[in-house]
Amino acid sequence: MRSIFRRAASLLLSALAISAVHGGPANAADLRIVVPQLPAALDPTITTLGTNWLVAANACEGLTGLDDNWQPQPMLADSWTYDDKALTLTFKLRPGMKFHSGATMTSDDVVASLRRYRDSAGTGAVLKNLTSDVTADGSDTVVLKLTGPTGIIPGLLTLTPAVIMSKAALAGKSATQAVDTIDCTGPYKVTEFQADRQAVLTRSADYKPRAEATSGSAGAKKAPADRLIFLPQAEPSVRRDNVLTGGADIATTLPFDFYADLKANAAVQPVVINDNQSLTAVFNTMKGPMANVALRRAIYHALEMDPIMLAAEGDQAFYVIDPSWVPDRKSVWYSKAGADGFGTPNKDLVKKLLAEAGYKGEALRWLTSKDFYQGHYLPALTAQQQLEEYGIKIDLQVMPAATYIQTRSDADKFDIFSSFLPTYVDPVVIPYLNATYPGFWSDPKKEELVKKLATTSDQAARVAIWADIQKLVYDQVPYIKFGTEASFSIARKGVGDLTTSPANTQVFYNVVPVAK
Amino acid sequence: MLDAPPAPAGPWRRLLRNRTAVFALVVLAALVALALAAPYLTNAQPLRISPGIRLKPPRPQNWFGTDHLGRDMFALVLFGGRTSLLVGLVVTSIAMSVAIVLGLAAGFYRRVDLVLMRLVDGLMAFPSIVLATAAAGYLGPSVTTVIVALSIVLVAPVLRVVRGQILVLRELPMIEAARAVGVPDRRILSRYLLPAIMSPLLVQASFIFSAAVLGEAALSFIGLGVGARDVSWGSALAEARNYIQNAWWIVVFPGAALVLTILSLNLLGDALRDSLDPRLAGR
Repeated sequence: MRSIFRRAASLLLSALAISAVHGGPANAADLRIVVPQLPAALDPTITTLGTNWLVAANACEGLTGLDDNWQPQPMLADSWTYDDKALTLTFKLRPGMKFHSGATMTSDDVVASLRRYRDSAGTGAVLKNLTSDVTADGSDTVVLKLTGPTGIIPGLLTLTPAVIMSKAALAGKSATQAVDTIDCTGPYKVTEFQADRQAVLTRSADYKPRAEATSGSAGAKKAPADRLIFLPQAEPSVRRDNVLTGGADIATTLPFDFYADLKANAAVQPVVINDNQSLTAVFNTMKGPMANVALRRAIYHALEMDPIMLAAEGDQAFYVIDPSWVPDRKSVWYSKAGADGFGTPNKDLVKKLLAEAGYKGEALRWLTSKDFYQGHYLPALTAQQQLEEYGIKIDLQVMPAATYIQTRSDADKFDIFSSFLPTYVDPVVIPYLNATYPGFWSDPKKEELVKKLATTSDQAARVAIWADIQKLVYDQVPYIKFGTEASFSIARKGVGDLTTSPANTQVFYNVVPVAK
Repeated sequence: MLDAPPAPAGPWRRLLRNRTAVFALVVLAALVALALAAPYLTNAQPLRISPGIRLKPPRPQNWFGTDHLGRDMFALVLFGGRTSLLVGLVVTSIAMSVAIVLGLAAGFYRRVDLVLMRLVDGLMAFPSIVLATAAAGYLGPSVTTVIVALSIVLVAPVLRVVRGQILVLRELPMIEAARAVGVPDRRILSRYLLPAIMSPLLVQASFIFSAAVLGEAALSFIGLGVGARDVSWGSALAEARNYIQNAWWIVVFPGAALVLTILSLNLLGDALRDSLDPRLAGR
């Protein structure tokens, strides 16, 4: 009996040592990328969790692609025309594009994909609000009938859930049912997928890159690697060690505590992307105690953000205590509007707000996951300690990522959940603004401002509207931001053309593997 | 006139003459004392997050250093020991109690034996850690869950030992005689058989204790042990595994405490087995 436990314990410890890559033999021209987890299903349209879009981001394309300056560029559409009188947006499709199944892309495939995307949760609802229908006009043209003037749709269609798949692959699948295989047009096709083991993407022989210069997920996609092999490994130390031992080429999402040693290691190159994403907590504004705005404000004013971010990131060089809901400081949407006193607790105000809320000490259910250890768990743990000093009780419910995603979609099962939010191509597509997104923030003034943002064409006016939305967020507090974090990955020396823009952190199809 | 040979030393005297056993007893006593005295030995709260002093090596303010959340490792080890040792004690008590009752019944009554041992065989066919993981995964992480899961898993091996001993003892002439004169079964079990198996049970208890402590550490290490509000050596090691290279103290101190405990319990068990073996009495 005791020998069984001894063996089990030693097996567990050794399993966390340098582990062999479970990807099978790799060619020298393969790119092996170790990530924290793989999605349970490859279909990006059915999930609002961005980390689940990883494989589709490399195998699929949309009508437009996002360049590293957050601008939509032609991808599967060669051009588009906006008619503000007829209220239509017409896309001219790129001819001769083939899906991985061999079928040629036509407007029917685009219509089927976009109609499904319109029905999906998250950003699909934005397209639904802006359009009344999507129709084909011949085999190479797609027309979106608009509900009002808007200039944001090309940007919206750069998002991974809006990718184009073949009509045959989508047949019979609603926006909440995963397709059996993702049949896309991208430079790599999925040739093997085992959730929790690996995803293998092989270069597509039929792929025709665009002629424009490469920029993020826009322009020419060069596909220099024969295969992209994604390997899940929950332990960051094992991800790191896979690269150090040559078992992998890139390891993503590493803690900054590894940075100093890895920077000094001649065999690897650290890749830090600043202003990567905001670490956040989203409140259930529909049901339960967090539907009370006074309690939400109390929590916001109780939190001291710097210790929370320091606990999560480990080094002040890699985060910013920054209230902007658009974290990229280079983005035109970056704003500090409405966030006076951000990050500094106000004890007297907290007490007043708790009394106003009538808070009686009930435990608030906070969903989080150790699968996102730095981004979710550590901020939640630290915030819990701070809140409990005010008598605000937190029931921290730690669960696997898949359970967390499922649970947060049920308004009866949570009060708060951990989240993170990158910069989006346009703030109107921020999922938290959508009343159907978990958190369920519904506010007449918000709806009015978001509609105005979506339908205004003058950029300066739009920036001002966005500032008003952010002020409303800091007044109503449907969600809170802790700060902006950088991201940290490493690659073997010799890996080239690594992504360095927060606009395209999931894109690996332009990365050059180590030369043979 | 020849002198009578000296009486052989009793089992407890033999135990105390065994230096390894004495070492094990002293170490165990020290660990238990430290765990019990934890609130008096440190002012630090083991789960208090202080990011400003994260990853500090051992120093006067933090004897065992701090972890990646700035938590004091000395407090973590002391208070973690309270959890780990408490789990060991409670699991041992439950597992031994249940195993003794069921083992006595199985060993004494054939019909009970037929049914019960098939269930036990089924239970033992599963790898123990898998069974404990499944139970803990279903119930959710907490100290209570760990105790329940490990108790279920650790009943079976003790039950088999008790049953085996009873199968032999019940055939002894004194038991047959007791039955013949009409002594009730309950009295036979409690007055005759149970005292006769106390020695091997004592040995088993030490091994079960060790298995329970290690089992709790394993479950907490994989995230199915104690919850976020509790601390144990296993949970401390789980958090530490990413820092082996740049913060050795986060691994070494809870690891050393765990190793010392398991080693001492196993050495004590071996020594008890040797000292309680009547064949070794004359040596």
